[in-house]
Amino acid sequence: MLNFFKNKNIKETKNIPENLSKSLDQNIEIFKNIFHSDDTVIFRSIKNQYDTNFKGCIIFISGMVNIESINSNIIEPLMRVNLKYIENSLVLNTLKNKVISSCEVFESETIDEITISLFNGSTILLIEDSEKALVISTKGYVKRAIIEPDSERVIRGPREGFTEEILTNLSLVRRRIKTPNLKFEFIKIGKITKTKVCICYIDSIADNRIINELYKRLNDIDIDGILDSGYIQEIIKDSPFSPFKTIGSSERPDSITAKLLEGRIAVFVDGSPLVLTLPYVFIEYFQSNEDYYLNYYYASFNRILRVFGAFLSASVPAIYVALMTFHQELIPTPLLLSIATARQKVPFPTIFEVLGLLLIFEIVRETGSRLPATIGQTISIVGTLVIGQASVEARIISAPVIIIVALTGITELLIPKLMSAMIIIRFILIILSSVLGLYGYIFGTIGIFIHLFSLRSFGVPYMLGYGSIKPQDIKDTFIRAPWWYMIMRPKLIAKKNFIRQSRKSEDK
Amino acid sequence: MKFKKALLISLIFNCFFLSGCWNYREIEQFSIVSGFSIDKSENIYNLTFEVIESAGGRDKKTSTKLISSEGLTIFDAIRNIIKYPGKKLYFSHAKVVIISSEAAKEGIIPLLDFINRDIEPRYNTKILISKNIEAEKILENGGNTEIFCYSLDDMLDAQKNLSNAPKVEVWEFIDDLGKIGISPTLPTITLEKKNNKVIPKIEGSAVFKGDKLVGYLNGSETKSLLFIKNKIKGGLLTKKIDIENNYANISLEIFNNKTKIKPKIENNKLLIEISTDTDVSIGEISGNIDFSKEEERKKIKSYFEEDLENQIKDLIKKAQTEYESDIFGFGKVIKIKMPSLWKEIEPKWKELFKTIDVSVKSNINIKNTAFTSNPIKAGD
Repeated sequence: MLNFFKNKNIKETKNIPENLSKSLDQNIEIFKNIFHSDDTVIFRSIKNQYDTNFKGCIIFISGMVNIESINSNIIEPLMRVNLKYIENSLVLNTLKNKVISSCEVFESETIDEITISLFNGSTILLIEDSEKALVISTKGYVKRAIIEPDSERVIRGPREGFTEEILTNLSLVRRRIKTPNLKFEFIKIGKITKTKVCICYIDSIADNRIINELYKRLNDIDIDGILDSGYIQEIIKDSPFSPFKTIGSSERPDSITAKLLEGRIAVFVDGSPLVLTLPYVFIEYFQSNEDYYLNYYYASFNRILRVFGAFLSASVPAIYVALMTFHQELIPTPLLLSIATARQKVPFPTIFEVLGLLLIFEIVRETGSRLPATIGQTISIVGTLVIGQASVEARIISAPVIIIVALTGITELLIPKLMSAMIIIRFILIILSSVLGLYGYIFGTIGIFIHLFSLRSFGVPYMLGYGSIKPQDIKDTFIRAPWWYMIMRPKLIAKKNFIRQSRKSEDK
Repeated sequence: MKFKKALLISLIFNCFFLSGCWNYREIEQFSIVSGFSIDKSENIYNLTFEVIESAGGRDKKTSTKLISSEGLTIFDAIRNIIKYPGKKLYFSHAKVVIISSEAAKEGIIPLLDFINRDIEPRYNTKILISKNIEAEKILENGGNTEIFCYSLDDMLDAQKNLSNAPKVEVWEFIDDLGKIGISPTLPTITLEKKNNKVIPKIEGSAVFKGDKLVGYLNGSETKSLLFIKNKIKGGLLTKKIDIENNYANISLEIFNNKTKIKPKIENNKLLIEISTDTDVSIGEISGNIDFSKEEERKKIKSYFEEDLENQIKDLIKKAQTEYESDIFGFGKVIKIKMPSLWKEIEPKWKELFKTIDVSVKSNINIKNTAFTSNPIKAGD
């Protein structure tokens, strides 16, 4: 089996020369060979009305091109324009400069380059007696419209979201930052997919060392294909085994623009509406782009809620287990009595109750997220009625556990980005507190914080601003300071240029 | 290097596993004790526990039942419960301990050792002395409250509005017991017949000398005691007053009180000066005294001041002569204010206390007259 594939590969590479030849038929044969058993590649031979000697052929991939543009801008002029009196050696040049009306045309002789252009939606024009081909840009495939992303909805703020088309995405950012300092640099990643990846930053703000480090890591990638920015996110991440993200992502051009202005670097990946930003620090989990558009009291309140929600989501079941099974003396007497009443005749120990129900919650969540919206209702009915009400009435699960799990679940959904890390942390803490009580819970928490403080994202401490008491360092952490107070960019990220506003605005 | 790593890991794990008492136990595995009573007869302790029983199901109910047990020590009696049907007892939510006066007369230290030593009972458990009755009987006549011991706890908390019994928690009692210069007191509980029903009543306090119960104070004496100890948080001062043949029963509501005790040497003799400063409002006047007049108010004031002074003096006399027990903590005050003198008199303090001179000065400030400024008048 292996041998068979090997032989085939060798045979193919042998047959394909590097450059084009003079003969049109031979050239067509080369491409037919490359694209054998691929019927989407169209070969169309063309003759001129006046010059009977002229022989040409255009090659394109149907579905990737704008057919109308090919008809009217390539085929029609080629057939109708008089080519009779043009010297043979100048034909290609004349065609390029005087006949074909397309904004992007170039000559190429390497077969490799021509093949890749075909995949990008270009049309190839081959003519008799020429060792070069014309590559004509006729890109035209169906794109998704720019709509508001479902994952990051806002009440106030722009409603645009990125699409799968990298150039559209870049234009969305470019439209917001009108400076030549905004740089877009393309590289290709993926040995087979050859995915376009664009690194975007503002030259006067972003830290060169971070950019260099990013290039180094991107160039080290040696993978067959990149289908989503998630691949790159995972491959170039610091601390690969940590459940926490050290590279952020967003679907909103306004978020990305704001991060670029703070000196961060964005990585666009063709085919993915999620744009990566780096460096990424822990507090960014709790920031939402809407925070910056709304009143800062309200925004700060929302942010504190999110932080508190994250604490609850990680800790509530663990603390419940610890209190119920180790520290009954810590529970206020009336609460203890009501819980003791609720737990009468429940067959499972508290720890299994909590773990089991959390697992069921995660199952319901996962089921709901993959289902078509119309079946979603069934899930909520089964989830709430059967598992919630019936199991309490049947005395399989005690009512307080349902409350605990519901609270955990709701607070988990408060920060959807943190969900994956939260599930792991929560289960670790539950297991620890079921073995050692609050003591274990506290050890677990300390461990998590040690881990968080040891993390770095492209050289920037992950817990940036946590140890500080300087107002400028904590202005955008647990609270969102008013805009007129945000004088500086995060210092460790935008090292070379961290003044955002002149001091004047502070005096107001 | 490898050895160091292994050592580090084993040290970290030791942190987890050699860290004292811990145990995984479910709530329903034990019965919650809400309070218990201690009786003693012929060197055998007789304990009765009030245990909370919660029944699950549609109509969730909590009820209590009494379990009795005997043993040579209190711990022995507690463990002997296991012989009888029921779950293991859990003491962390016990709020009240009732100790029979007979047991307390023989010495209270042996009774409190378990509560002080074991991890489960709390230091803020409240102690009650059942006056001239077996403590068990009090629990048996708990009446129809849902959890009797918790209602006793609430009653003791509410005493701050009556000031007829002190509220003493275990740590406080043990603290006072160990100190020289103060003797502890405890609230007393008795059974009283009311409407053909026997119901418990908390009033007065028990006086200790050393760790032995030596006598009792009634409700009003207890109030004076609380005045001296600066523990008055509320309550009433009620007295029948006669101003120019106008009789009236007046109640003053205490809002705030500050008592200062100052030891002093006068004419080469130790004198203890007690001054109370009480903010009150006129709570009720059942009579026809026009309190809106300044003069009348002054008279009311002086009547009450004199009365309070006398009550305090009487109590001190009683403690000096009858019980010979420094329940007021005069010794403690001298120790703080005149440490050098205290060193001198400490050995003979017990004798000295009996003869020490005390002067009392009370000051009552009538701050307001509550919601009315004029008494109700009958026109015709």
